[in-house]
Amino acid sequence: MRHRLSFWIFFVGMVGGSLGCGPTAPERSGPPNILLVSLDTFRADRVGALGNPNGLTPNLDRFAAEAVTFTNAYSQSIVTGTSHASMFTSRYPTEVEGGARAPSIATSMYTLPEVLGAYGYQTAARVAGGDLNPAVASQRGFDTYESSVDFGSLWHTLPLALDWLDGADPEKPFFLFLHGYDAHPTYLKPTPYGLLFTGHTSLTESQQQTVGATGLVMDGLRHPNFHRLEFLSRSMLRPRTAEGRVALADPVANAARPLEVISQADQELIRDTYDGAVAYADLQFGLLLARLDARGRLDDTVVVVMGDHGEALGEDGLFHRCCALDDAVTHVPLLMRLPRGEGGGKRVDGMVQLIDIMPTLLEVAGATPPLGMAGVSLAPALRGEPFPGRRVAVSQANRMLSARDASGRLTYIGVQAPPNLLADIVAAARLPGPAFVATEGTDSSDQAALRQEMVRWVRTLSNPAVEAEVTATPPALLEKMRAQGYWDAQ
Amino acid sequence: MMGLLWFLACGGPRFTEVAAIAPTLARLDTDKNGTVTEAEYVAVSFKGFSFAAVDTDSSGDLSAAELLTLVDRSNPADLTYPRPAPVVMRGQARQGPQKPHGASPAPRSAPSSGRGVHRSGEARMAALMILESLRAEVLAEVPGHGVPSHEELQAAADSGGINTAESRAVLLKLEAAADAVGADFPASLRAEKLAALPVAESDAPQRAPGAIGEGSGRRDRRADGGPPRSDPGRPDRGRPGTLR
Repeated sequence: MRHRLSFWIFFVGMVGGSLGCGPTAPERSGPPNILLVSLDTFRADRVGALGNPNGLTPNLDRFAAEAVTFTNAYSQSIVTGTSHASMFTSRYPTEVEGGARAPSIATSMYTLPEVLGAYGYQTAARVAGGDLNPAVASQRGFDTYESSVDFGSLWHTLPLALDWLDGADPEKPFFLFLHGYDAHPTYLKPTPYGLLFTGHTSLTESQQQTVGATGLVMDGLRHPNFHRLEFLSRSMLRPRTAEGRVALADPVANAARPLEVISQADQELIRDTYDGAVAYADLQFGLLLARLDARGRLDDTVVVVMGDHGEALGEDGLFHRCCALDDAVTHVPLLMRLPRGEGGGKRVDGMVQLIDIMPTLLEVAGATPPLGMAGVSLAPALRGEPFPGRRVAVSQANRMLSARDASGRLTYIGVQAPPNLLADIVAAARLPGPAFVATEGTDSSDQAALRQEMVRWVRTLSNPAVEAEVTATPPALLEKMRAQGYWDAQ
Repeated sequence: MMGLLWFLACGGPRFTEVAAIAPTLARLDTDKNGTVTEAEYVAVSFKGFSFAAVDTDSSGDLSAAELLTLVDRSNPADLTYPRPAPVVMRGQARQGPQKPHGASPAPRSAPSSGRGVHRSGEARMAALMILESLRAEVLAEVPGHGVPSHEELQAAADSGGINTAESRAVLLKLEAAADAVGADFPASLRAEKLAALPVAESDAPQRAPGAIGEGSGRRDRRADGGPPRSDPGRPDRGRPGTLR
């Protein structure tokens, strides 16, 4: 028996060696390579490995079989630029927010690529413009930072990333950040993904407009002047600028830009095209894995894939992201695969945040974490150790502040940034009704506990963003952002 | 046997491009006979796109390699591949019954006027937003007498727009109050400006219960977090099949 086993070990080794198991990675000792993939606007509930039954993400699901899947990961912002700045510094949005769409990272902070660079990593970012356009996003710590067309796809950025990878020094570890707006409005993607889940073979001009301008839809109506409105609360709107007030107040101009009804069927069409965009993003991710594997780089690389935020698809009458911080827009996929898929196939249900990615990757790389990070390392979960997760996840955006725990969510609306944040929370908590407070799945005792957590959290914040220089967004980029439905782009 | 040996030696199947796109191919194969025919492809492609341009080996079926080529060449920022056809197509799969020639126009407040434009609801919403905004500005200066109440604003908005007699009356009050406290007031809404415009007919009697403007904070919220159900109290804002 012992001889037979030895034979099989020998035989398999010989056959494996002679057949080849695909290209192998260049031999290099030391810290692993790191690939961080950001799938913009990707809802967690669309991922098969997170329970979606519709087969939208076969490649992510295949990846999950070799990765650790965090089933309760939450983004800290619903704004792409802020979410990434927060993730790359392991700080909450309050601490990195500059302008409405241009985050600022203070000189006293360290970024993930900055620290990895100090530990000998080659660092590169290949992003798809928009909020990550180098005109407004921080490139600090990246050796090279290249952007494709604004609001582009992984289809645009993947070749850029592979080109860089092919020219990278094989003797040094790399940190590569790859980003695409594949699931971001507008959702229509090339054949066959554009209409794959819609039941349509063509779209009318009106349907095309509806799918292309979801940021203007609220309560079944498309508001042509949406970007000129300011949300004081969920139920109170007003023109946000003098220009907006004139535009709204002028009966002649207003009549020329009427509200338009978005039928239930068209709202369903929005969801169906979003699913097609998710499937397209999943394919691009699958192609990335295949091309990485073909280069022999998959098995010496830590691969992390995440969504920077979700997307409202009709929840509470809302589409896109503007006026709510619920699970639809903050619950995101987060999966981490260690080299060779070690310890893969596990699910971790403890609550985690995107700001936990930086301390995790620094620990994996053997780097000493800088002071001031708000995230915690998820490395114990990757090693299979018990990992309870955090008690509360916090998200901020558009004058909203939200705390989520296992029982539900408490959101305050209309709050400002520090130093008034604490006072605003207290004030908002005293105001009656849903205009200033939104809850999900909580009773009053849960809400009281969440409020306490929120107050405790506020006291941990610093506000170093005031030290940073705020970047002005170029007018041409602002126009593109508004075209994407970002009503607050200014 | 060789496959098993390879599996044992290499630790299982690798990530490949064909494996990445295989699930899409399987989804396109709606009759599950193992091939994707022209009919199956056309069912999910933008109308007017040629199957022949994709079926490069002219086999009549779409292979994984052909689908990969299609995806690789299709720029998502330009949905016109594989032929320069406009993405926006006239006609609609779920098109509803057409109005016969010579049919009388829809009533003024009907939701189907224009391309699904609910003019009455739009005007109400716009009027309410304008009036509430102006009122808030006046009150921000001084909470004084003469400022119209929310109920007055609501009633004015319910009349069907900012340019009705009811709304003009409220605007006049707001204008006077704004002038009294030195608050900003839009020139386009001042009485002399509005006087140059014809007064719109009030459509208050035609207003359906639950129309836009009635309780702007009202929402159909589902406990399960799903999309809102249709509200029988709301006017029909367009049905599936309505040509828009």
